[in-house]
Formats: sequence, structure tokens, C-alpha cells
Amino acid sequence: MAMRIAVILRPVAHPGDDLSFNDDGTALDMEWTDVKANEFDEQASEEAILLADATGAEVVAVALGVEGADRMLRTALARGASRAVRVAWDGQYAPDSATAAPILAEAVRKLDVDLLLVGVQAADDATGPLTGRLAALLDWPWAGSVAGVEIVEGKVLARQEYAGGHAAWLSLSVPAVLGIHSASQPIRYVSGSRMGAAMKMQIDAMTSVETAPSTTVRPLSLAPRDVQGRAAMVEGTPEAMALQLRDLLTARGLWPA
Amino acid sequence: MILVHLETRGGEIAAQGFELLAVARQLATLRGLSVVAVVLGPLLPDARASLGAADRLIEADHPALVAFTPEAHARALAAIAANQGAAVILIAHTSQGMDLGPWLSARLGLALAAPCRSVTAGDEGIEIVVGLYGGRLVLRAAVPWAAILSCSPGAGDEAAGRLPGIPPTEQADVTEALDGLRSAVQSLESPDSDAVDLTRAERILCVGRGIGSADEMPKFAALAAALGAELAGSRPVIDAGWLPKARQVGKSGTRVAPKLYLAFGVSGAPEHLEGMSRADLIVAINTDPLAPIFGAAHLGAVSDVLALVSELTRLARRVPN
Repeated sequence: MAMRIAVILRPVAHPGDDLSFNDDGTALDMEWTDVKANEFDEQASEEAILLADATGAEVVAVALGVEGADRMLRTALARGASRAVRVAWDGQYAPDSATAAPILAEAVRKLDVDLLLVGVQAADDATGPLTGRLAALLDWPWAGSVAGVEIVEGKVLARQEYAGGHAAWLSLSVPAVLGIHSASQPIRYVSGSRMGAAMKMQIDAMTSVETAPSTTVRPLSLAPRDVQGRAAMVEGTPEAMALQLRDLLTARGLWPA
Repeated sequence: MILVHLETRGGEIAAQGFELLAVARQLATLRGLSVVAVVLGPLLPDARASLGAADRLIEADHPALVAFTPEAHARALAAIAANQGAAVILIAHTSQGMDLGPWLSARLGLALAAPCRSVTAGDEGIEIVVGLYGGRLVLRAAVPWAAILSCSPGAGDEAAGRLPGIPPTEQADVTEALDGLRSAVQSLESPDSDAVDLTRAERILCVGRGIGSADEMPKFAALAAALGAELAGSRPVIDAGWLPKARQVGKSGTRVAPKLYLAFGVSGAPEHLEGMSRADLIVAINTDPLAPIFGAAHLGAVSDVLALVSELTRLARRVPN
């Protein structure tokens, strides 16, 4: 029987040039901050579809019902997911992984999944990756930092990457959780007509368990990193800047003689 | 007590482990706690000689711990942490640490903060600094004195944590914890020795997603050729297939230390900075004045990268009079 693969999708805050913070300066003011798809979730979604293409697996896209979630679910449908599930969530924005994990684990249990793919990390989360938390709650084997997944004779083979170009192929029995770093192929293009068709497809609603928000990492302040502290900046037109850079590099013997 | 997980490669302790020991020592001294280092898997005899910053060393050796699997290592570490009554656990925010931290957090009921750029004892508990949004924003936060801290490189002073001395050592029996494992290492891969070796390049021109598309790549290849530099890319560029994997600089690619590192359209995510901040001269060109790359660069230009690459190529190709 074909496997059922679930992929978790999570919109993340996407602060632009004009940063806006809440009154006590501990978080972004989301009223004035865009959200976008977590780039690693996009990689996980692509890997799920690639596995479905290769093995005939069914792909279920799952997201908490926060701002930006429906867009991500519909994009997954347009890419080839067969089902989309929106899990009830009271808040307007995605909670951290410590808070989200119990709700998502419960949803995954209900979906009777063989393989769960998530993005390896999210840019706005100070409570660590979702992968290991879901594995602990579901009591499944897991691996993060994965770039390359195969399904062979009912087992999952995952290529886990380490620093310096080292990697290992891990064999995991199913059900299992993988934190995807990069899909095996670049993310496919979704045509306007496919997206249009996905806009008409149904998103299933799922109720969720009650859970208290995680308060274990208590924000004290959030601020832009001081990025101008070190670099000496060249200024002017591109032509003027190029001349300055050439002179600075020439002085250091780093420009061709 | 404070537990410090030391990663190993080939039986040697990875350098970042000594940074963690320095952080642990600082916290422990302030609170009157002890520092216990944990090594899972085999260790070369000489590898213990610089662990003087730890009060004790616990080793666990088992066939399932020879190469890393998240399941075996996390279970062994959890068993040791529970047995020792560890309040604070320090791990490196590497591929291994990213797998261990969240699982231990859920299983042991400890808070997890990641990736910590600094860790200090504060009035409100342990105060941490975390880089969020690709390093563009900095979060200061407090966690209780019952937490797992997953630290990025640079969080501690490696020299301060690398002290001569072999601490009292005990062997932990983790056989029971490793019963019924559902995952195993199938094979190991080493870096491709035939591919370009960026670690030997004196000049590197690195492109990021900010260059726009693969169609622009020839412009940067032309400047790289004119400057005698190797062409490299940040992770999104490699993931998109614009350049081969061997040309990736960063945490999951190659760590480089050239004389010149020219970064075009690279935002400077912490994972990227980890791979190139040891370069002698870093020149960053980006349209975003807030890009974290400017925090690591020596020279910077806020500019349209395509306009500047054309100008630089024109100048580099100009025949001297």
C-alpha cells in the first residue's frame, strides 16, 4: 500500500526594511509585518511531492490556521499534494515550535501518517526545530538537516548533512519524522493555472487539543543587529564605488596588476 | 550541575565543545555548580587531555553510538542527564545539536533556547542572545535555570575552555536506553576530493540569492575570472541549482578563510557567516542596508549588485597603461 506522507507548513514573519515593534519592544508588531512561507517548509513540501512522484505516496499538507496558512496549503495542493488540512488555532500568527508541537503531533496522529516532513528550522523561532519535538511526542525515530530522501522496501533512507561536506545515510523504520534542509531537486514552478485550480480545492478543517503557550523562553528585547558597526562603507554611484573598491583592493595587493 | 555534550569526529573532541565548556564554567562558578562533560561514542586516548575545565567526564560507548544517529545519541544523553539530575544542558547548535535539543526538551521537560549567540547568568535566570530572521534581528531572552542551551559557534571562548587536565572519568551504561532502536547509520560520506576545494582558494567571489536569478551568473563568473577568484554560493543559490554543492560556503557547506571574500547579494544568515567570517578581508555588496553581512564585513557597499559587478568587471579587465 502506498505511504501517506504529511508535510507541516508554517508561515513566518518577514520583517522588511521598516521594522515595527510592539510596545514593550520584545517582538515585532505583526500588524505592520508581512508573513511569508518558511523557506525550509517549502523544501519539505517539494521533497514530499518528489517522493509521491517516485513511489505513488499520498501527500497531506498540514498547517495551523494562522495568517498565511491557506496560501501555503493551496500552493502545496498546486504542486501536487492530494489533501490539505487546516488545524484550528486561536492565535492569528504561528506560535513557536515548543507551543505548536503538541497540537501538530495530535493532528498527525489523527491523520495516520507513515512519514512526516517538516522544514529543518524557522527563522523566527528561538525554541529550536520542530523535528525532534514532534519525534519525542509521537515516539518516532527522526533526523534533521536532511538533504535527500528515498523510500526503499518500506524503510526511509535519509541523507543527513554535517559541517565540512560530511554526510550520513540513515535508515529509519516508519513512521518517522524528517527535518528537511534541501529538497533533492530545486522547488518546482507552479503555473498560474495550477494555482487557480488549487484555489477552488477544499481545505479540510481539523479541531485541535487545548494547549498552553510555551513561556519557557521569555523575550526581554528584540532589536535590529548593529550591522554598520564594523564595515567601512563606500558610497556614491556604482561607478564611483567600483573605483573606490578597486583602489582599496589594489592597496592590499588583491586586485590584478 | 551543568551537563556539556561534547561532539566528536574520528575520536577527537570537536573544537566547539571547548567553547561550551567555557560557557559552562562561567555559569557554574557564579552559581556554585559543577560541570560534567559527556562524550558519547569512542574517544582517542589523547583526546581527554584538554578537558581540565570539566569537574567530571562521563563516557558512554556502545556499538550504536560509534556514528551519530539522533535516536541513539538522544536516548543515551537523556538517560545520563536524568541519572545525573542535570539542570542545565549545553549543546552545540550543529546538525547533531539541532536533532538532540528539541527531543531532550520535550522528553525531559526542560526549556530549549536556540541558537544562542551568548549565554550569561542574569537577574531573571539565564540570559541568552539569539539571532532571529537570518541574523537581522537580535533577541535577548531569559530562560529558567532548568534549560537546554543550543549554542552557535563563538558563544564561548575556546581557549578558556581548553584547559590541560583529565577530569575524573566514569563509564555510563546506556544499554537499556538503547534497546529497540528504530534507526541506524547505513553509510557515511566524506567530502568529494575531486571537486573544487574552496578551503585552498586565496580569493573567493560568493553570490547569494540577491543576485536575482541564475541568468545573472555569467556576470559574476566573469568578475571572478578577472580577479582570479573561485566562484562560490550561499545555501539558497546551491539549493536552487545555480552552482554545484562543492561551491557552497557556510555551515552545511565549506568553511573558508581566503585573503579576499567578495560577497554579492548575500544577506549573511548566521549559517553563512559561520563559514566565512575568518576571511582576511570581507567585502559585502547588498541592496539591503540592514543585511547582517555588513556586520561581518570589513568593506561594504549598499548598491544594486548587477550595476556594481559590471563596473568592477570593466575595471578589472582594463589593460594597464
